Amino acid sequence: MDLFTRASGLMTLAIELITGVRLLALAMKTRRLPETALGVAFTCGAGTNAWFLIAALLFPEAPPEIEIALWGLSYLGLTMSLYIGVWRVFRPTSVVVRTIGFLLAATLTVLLVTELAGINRAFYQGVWNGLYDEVQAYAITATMAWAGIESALYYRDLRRQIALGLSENVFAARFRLWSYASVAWVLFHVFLFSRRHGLLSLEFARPTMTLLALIGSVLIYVTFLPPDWLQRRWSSEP
Amino acid sequence: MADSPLFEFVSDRLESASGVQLSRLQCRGVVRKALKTAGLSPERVTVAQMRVVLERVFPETLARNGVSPTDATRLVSTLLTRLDSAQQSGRLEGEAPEDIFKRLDASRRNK
Repeated sequence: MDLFTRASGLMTLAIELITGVRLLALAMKTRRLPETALGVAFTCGAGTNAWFLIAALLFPEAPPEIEIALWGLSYLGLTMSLYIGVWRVFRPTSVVVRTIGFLLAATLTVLLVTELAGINRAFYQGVWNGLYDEVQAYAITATMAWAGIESALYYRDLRRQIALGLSENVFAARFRLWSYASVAWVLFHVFLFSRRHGLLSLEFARPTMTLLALIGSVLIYVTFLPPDWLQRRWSSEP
Repeated sequence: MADSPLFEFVSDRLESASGVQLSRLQCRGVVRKALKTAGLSPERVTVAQMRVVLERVFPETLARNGVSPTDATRLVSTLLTRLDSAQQSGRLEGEAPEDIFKRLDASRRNK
């Protein structure tokens, strides 16, 4: 790993961790599901980066199974908690979203357990990296795309609400940023997917993905914890 | 997607207040249309938002559905009164997506 990749990876990890921990601290006080789920999601998001970095920096000789297990669990936590967070924030009463969530959680858990136990390896050996990796990549990309679409749609709704004095610019701007962050994260996973299937070279994919992850995490941080000067600027916008 | 108790409440009260003028389906459609015009959804509208919609968007939406201006004013006034009394129970309050930001901002200010 070059210096840029390591530095960007560490920054992404730190930013995601700060955002996740701040949301979890709020959840401890409010006991509400949206902040709990999103706090776990961003903390697990940091975890997916952390295991690779810790393994690469501190334990280069660690058995790959341990890294795979930690990575798999982090990704499962990230996907399901993000799904729950988006569901509770945008579609809290939807039975369809809740049913899909249960099915997704069950599918991913079964795939991860069988992956770790080495049961399903016989089906894909030499074809894919792993069935869990494959399904997981689709699931997280779809969930992030869904978060982006919901944010963008709600941003449009908020513009109408603002015209009636029902909401404020500061919230519309934050949903707009959330949708931009989702675009960055979806692109990150598209690149990850393309790289995994050999469609992109490592030299091109790695720095681009690192940059996209950093942009995504900074945008998420500003969405949830915007500095006061930015909030004032948003408030003064027409 | 399931509609919020507040949406159900306003639709039901509109149906009973309008008499035979509007059917149940029309009432739900009118409330839904008014909320959409304001950029709100029936699943997560709050009482404060509903009050503004009733005052500012509803008369026009009712007029478009063939209700006379006099009847529209009477219906809005009735709905606002019933909303006020129902609000005391606290069962109608929904949660808007931006509430998570409001709680975060309040928690940061209290530090």
